[in-house]
Amino acid sequence: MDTATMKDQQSQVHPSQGPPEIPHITTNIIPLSQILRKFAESSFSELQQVIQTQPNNEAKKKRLLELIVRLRQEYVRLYVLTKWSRTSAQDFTKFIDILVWLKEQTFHFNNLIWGTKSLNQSLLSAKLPNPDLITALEVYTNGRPTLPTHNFIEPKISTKKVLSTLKELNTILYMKYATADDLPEEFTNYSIKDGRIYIYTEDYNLQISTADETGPFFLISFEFTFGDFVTSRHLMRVCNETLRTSGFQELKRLLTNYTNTMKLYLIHQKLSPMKTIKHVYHQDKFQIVVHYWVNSFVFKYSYIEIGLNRANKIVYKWFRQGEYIETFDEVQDFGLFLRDIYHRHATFILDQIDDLTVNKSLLQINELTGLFYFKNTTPTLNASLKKLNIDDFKNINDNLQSIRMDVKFLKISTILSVTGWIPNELIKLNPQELKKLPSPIFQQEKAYALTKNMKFYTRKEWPSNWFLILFIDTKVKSFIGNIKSMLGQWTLQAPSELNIESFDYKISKQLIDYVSKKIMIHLITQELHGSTYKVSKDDTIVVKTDTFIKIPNTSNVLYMTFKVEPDNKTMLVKVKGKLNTELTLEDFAIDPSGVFEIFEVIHFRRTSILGNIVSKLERLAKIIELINYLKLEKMNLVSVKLDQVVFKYGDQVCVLKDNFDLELPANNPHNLCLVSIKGYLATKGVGHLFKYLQDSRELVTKLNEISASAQTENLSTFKTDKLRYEVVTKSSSMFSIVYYMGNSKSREILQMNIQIKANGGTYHYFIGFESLQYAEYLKQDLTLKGPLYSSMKSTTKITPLVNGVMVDEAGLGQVIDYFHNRIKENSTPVTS
Amino acid sequence: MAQVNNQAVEQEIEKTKQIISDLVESFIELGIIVHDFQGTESSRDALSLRLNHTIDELQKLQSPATNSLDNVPVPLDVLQYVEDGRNPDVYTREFVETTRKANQHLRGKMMAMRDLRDVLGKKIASEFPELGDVVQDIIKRTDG
Repeated sequence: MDTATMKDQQSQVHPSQGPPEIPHITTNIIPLSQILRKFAESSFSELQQVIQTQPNNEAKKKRLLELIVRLRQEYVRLYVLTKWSRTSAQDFTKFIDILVWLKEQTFHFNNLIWGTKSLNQSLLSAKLPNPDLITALEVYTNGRPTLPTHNFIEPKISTKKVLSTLKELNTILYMKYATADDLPEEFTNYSIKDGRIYIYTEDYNLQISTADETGPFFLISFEFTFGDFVTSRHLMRVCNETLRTSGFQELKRLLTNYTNTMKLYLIHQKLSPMKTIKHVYHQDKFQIVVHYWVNSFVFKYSYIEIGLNRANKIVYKWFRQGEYIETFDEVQDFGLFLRDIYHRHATFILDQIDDLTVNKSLLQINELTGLFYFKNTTPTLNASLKKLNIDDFKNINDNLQSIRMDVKFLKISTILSVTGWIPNELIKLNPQELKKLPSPIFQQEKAYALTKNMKFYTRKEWPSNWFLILFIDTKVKSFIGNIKSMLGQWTLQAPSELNIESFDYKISKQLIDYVSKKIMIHLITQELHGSTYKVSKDDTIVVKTDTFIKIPNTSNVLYMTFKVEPDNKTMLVKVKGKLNTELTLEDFAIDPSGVFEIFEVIHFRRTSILGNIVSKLERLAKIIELINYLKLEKMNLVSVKLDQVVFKYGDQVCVLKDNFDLELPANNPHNLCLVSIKGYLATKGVGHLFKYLQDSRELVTKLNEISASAQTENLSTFKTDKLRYEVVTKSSSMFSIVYYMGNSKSREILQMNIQIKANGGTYHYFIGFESLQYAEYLKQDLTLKGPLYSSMKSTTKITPLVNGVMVDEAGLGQVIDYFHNRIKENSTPVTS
Repeated sequence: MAQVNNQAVEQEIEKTKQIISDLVESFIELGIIVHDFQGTESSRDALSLRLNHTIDELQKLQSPATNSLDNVPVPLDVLQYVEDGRNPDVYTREFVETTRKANQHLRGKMMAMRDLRDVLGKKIASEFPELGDVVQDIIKRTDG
């Protein structure tokens, strides 16, 4: 930098222009004029101050005098200065300039010197050493430098001397070695020559020697028998030290240890490139632990321990899954040895597995890695291998079992889902429910554990809550059952076992039919409860007729068959029976032999399967019963249908409709008491009805007449005091004719009651009165002396009683007419 | 021009010297008058006369006819020297002496540097012949 500065300065120099002007210095330099002016001004002001301000006395005079004296001195100095200015001032400033410039140059030079110095230091690293040409020349010519000899003189020993010395030395060695008292057994194989003792042992050879009779032994050479290695100097030093201080035994121990370490190290070296094993070399313990099957989780802690036995020999100990198995003394080829161990271990493992096959695949162990694999594998099996390879080995049989089961499940569930079965994952049966399944395996204590092997399937066309229950263990078991969720618990009802053990597509399709039938049988038999029945084949139920529905004159049994329709949603249910009597129904086919058939297409999901059929059968039973009765009564059947029977009694027609609803034509006199008759029918049954209808015909006809005349007479006039009457049915066996007499202010109601009284097979009619006080004139007719009795006793059986008369059927009409007319006559108003 | 100027300055200084010399004279007279001042009318006149004369002189000094004296530089050191009652010529002599020494010192350095430059340049040129031109250029430029 300094050189650069200098260069810069120098470069400004141009010889043509001469050197540059020296810079002019102006600091601390004042012009003379300024000094003079200030001086004059100051003097003036001082004079002025003293003259003007001081009082005019001695003191003033003195001060003025002093001032004048001082000013004079000052002006003398000023004079000197002015005089100096004339001679020196101009040159002096030049000197100043020069001096400043010189100082500046000196400063630059100093910088230059320092710069040079620092240049010297900074270029120190660029300095090259001086070449050592002499040594280089020596190396070039001789191949090596000539080193200082330090006055060493090469010995010149004669061959003879050498030989005799060696011989002497041999003798000494013989003697010394033979008299050594701590020779180990291994060191007894030796030979002595060339002034050395050659000792041969199994693993190493060594040469020792000595200097003279009294000197100690020392080791000269050492080599392994199993390989050529450079002997370490350190070993020689340690051996010599040991030999000197502790003797041969200690030497042997040292060398044996060294040998073993070397061997282990060699093994360690050999093991290092082997990728399938993992080994740890414990130098301090003389041990190598070789872990094999390192990737196997199941068979971890399987290793071979290479170490020393008590005799300091290398042995191989095999630990299989942490358990000591065997010790091997001699291992020639570790690779082969390891392969043998793999094989033995794999065999041992496979021997513990009960069954190696899973669905045509065979479980194997990869002997190199210790991992399980399957022969003839499938993707499913491969997926399950992971579990085998990580789970505890003691669970292997269970795991295999569960894999087999999974495989089976998968297979079956694939089949089922393809064929339209719907799995239900939600259902979980509790132990009590499980026990309901009709198989002994579910009765045991631990049955609950089996639920994981259980799957539930249903079909969408099935009645709800019905499931196919598949249980897969060693065998496939299948059940059907009704499973409902009640209060959060799954409850199983009506379980039954299916005898299907294997599944394929064909069976699955058949299964639909089969299971559907099973369910139907179950549903039907459930509706048949209380009846005696027998299920024969898959689709036929034989029911004992009496216990199901009482149908008169039928064979003992009914055959119920059903057939699942091809759509799998509905089925055709047929009930077949036989009538023992001949019967023709207008709307129900019964063939001449009496066989009849009821059939219906029923949707699976319907709540009641047999409802319609049962009601049909019931109607049939009723009809048959009715017909039988009607025939018995010699009724004239007009027409017979399943739900309607039309028959004649006397000259009247009666219709019994669906569910035995009585219906009478409009002209039937019994219409009068239809309501009562219906009640009667309900309580007494159809058998009594017909008798009643026949028996009451006479009375009812009569009453109808009266009722009809009442209709006309009551309307004939509107006078309030006119007699009015009406027929009232009180019950099926009691009728009344009510008479309203008097005027509206004092109404008198007379009632004539006609009551049917059964006595044995014949009927009597009691005709009595209520409120007889309104018809005193009738009282005499209720006596044996009355005109009624006397007029009728010859023709009918008539018995007067306290409030009425008892009359038989023959005289009934007559008596009623008599009383009716009497009352009409007597109650005719007087006024009219 | 400078010569004319110098002459003007010298004349001016000479004039100023005269004024200051007169002033010193005046002060002496003034001192005598003040010393002998009796308070009489005539002495008072004499004092006034002399005082006025002195002030006239001061006036001349304060406002000179030319400004030639502006170009006369007086270093403060010299001023101090006179103030202390010492001879400024002594100071001038010492200063010249100092300058001479500084000059000699610098010259010595310059000589030494030139020698160093020559030796170093020669060595560099011999060790690194490729730098010879650069060295020559440097010598040429620095050879005052």
